[in-house]
Amino acid sequence: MKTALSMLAATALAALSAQATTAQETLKIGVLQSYSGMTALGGTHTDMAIKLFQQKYGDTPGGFKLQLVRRDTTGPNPEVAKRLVGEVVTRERAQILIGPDFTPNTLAAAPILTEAKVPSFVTGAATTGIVGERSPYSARTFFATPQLCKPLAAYAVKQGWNKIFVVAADFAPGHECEKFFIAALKEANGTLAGNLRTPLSNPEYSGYIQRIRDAKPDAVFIFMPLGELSIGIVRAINDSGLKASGLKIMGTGDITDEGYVDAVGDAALGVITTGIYSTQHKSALNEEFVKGFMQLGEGKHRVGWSAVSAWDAMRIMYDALESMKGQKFDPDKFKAFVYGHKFESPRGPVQIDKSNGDIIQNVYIRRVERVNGVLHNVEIETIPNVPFK
Amino acid sequence: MSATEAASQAAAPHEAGRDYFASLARWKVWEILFWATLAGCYFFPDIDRMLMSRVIIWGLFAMSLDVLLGYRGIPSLGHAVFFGVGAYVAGFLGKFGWTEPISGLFFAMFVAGALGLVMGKLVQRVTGVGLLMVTLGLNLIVFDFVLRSTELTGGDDGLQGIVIAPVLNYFRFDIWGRTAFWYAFVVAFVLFVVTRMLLKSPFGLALIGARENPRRMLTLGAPVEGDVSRAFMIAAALAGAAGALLTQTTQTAAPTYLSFQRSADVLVILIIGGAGRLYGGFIGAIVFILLQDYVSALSPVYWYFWIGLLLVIIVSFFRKGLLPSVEQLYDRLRSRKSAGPPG
Repeated sequence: MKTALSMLAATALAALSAQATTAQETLKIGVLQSYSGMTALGGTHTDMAIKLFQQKYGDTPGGFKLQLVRRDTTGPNPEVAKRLVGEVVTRERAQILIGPDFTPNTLAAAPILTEAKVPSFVTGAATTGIVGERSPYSARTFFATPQLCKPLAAYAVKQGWNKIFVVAADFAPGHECEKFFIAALKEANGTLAGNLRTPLSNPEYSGYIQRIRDAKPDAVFIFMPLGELSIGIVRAINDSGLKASGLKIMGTGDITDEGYVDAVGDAALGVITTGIYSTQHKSALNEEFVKGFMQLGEGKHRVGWSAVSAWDAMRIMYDALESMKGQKFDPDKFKAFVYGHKFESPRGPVQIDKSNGDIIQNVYIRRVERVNGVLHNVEIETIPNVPFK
Repeated sequence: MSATEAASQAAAPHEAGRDYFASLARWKVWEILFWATLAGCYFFPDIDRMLMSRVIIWGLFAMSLDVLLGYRGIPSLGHAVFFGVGAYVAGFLGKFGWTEPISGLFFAMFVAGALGLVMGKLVQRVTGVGLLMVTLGLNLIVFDFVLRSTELTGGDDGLQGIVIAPVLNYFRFDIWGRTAFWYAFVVAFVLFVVTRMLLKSPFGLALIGARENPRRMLTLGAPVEGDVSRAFMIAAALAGAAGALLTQTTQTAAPTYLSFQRSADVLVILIIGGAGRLYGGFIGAIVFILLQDYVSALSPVYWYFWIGLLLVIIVSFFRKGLLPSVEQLYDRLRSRKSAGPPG
């Protein structure tokens, strides 16, 4: 009797809660980023961007009540990332993920996301072939390595800088970038003056600078990871007098990232880089975004790429959820909306590829200049709709 | 009649020794309870089985260090090398078509053990700080090699394309961690039993003897140096098994598996649990990994701070580690009880 009663009560409760879900379904969003260690800035910026977005657009897109579940991936650590993704998906029952960041983490998460049909946004990994190829529900709002590594080859040749020296950090993304740049240089009929791979843990560049000097190139193309190494090499080239003697410095946006371009100082002036986003991008949306971000961070943070990537992930997610208004959440419908979606981002127009969820976006050639006394990456040329391959 | 009596008398000292080792090797109630509870975790309704399998793997890894540090008194700051080698061997096997997990595990243990033997031969005459330096150096060299040889290991991105077949051709590694849990549990348990047998034998006693007084052991004619390399081999093989387990249950292998951070973490885990107890590693892993998971979910940004604080507290209140402190308390309570008036 007692059991029958409790069963009845349970059914009643279940019916009630079912009714509640049709009114407003709670949707858990897993946010897996690095919040600790050397790479913690990415997580901080992601959080700020999400907060800024929700301040403006609320937290119930399409009637879905969003609930964020944050976890710390601790950096490129696939073991941790895989377990956290498993936990967030199986126990917390998150239905959409933002992250995990870094290529190894993204790859480790892919089998789980595929099996559990959880759409995810890749906001912090740039290696080619890791989005739809690995997990059919993922989309990328960051960038793909070739987008940044290829365009400068043709640009340099056009400027009459034919002999180019390539310096890349000796790790997997460095090798990939080097490969793309050299291939693009060949295509543009430029000459490779030489190439170097520098260790990740040796900030002493004088020996390498001498080899660049001996090769007498017109320009040098640099790929370094974000952080100390980027600061070090730009300053080393400047201090050696090579820059004063007319050598052009080029590279991916990492070497003059807004986060530390002040630390590079005047050595960075005139450096040409490729980038997907600059705070100086001229658009109303960007102005508003930068202003909001500065207010939120009380001026302590300059907007980084991870912030823009997270903002765009939120943008797509909200648009997709709005389109599912009044229905139950369905990963296949979500994916169908996201793949092929076009929208305006603070960085400019962005499109998610229809076949594999990778990103197609404008790439900007920028030059470091002083704007109102502060070093900025000023966009000087736009290469529209650069593919991800 | 008298002939058999004489024979039994001659055997008596041997028998006494055998009795001693038999009493050492006898399973205590709390040991059985420990393993039963660990296995029982699986049936707990809201348990994260992936996390529990990770706890077991770290426990096994810390136990492998215990063989060196706890039983032989050799501190090693490069123990993650063996873990990483085991992980990458299992990963390479899975990548290049040898997907059967159990044989892969044995092969990984074999390679790690062989490396351990070589390492042991290298360091068997080194002691103290020198030993720390050599093991640390080896760790850095191997870590750098794995990180830099991107064509071979995938470098920073980790080893890609690891495929692991279902265990016994039936139990697939699923996202719920069901197979991962039992696979890790059974492997860890079997290896624990084997290690326990080894350490409760004359070999184990000789290790402890050499830890306490190597000169005395030499005068007794014990092969002290040879024992160092053998202990290294056993510890390395166990660490390799832990690494292989992690690779097989998660299908990932990355340079972090053999980073110095991991060597330090496993040392911390062992110290928290208590060295020289065999169970110290498992207890430490349960505390450390669960705490890490709990605190990092509670406060994703500042969790390292809390972990650090808790570590300081644990170490300052339980000087010798959790397990020895509990043991001490238990002994004290018992002696008070027996000293009290009968009745």
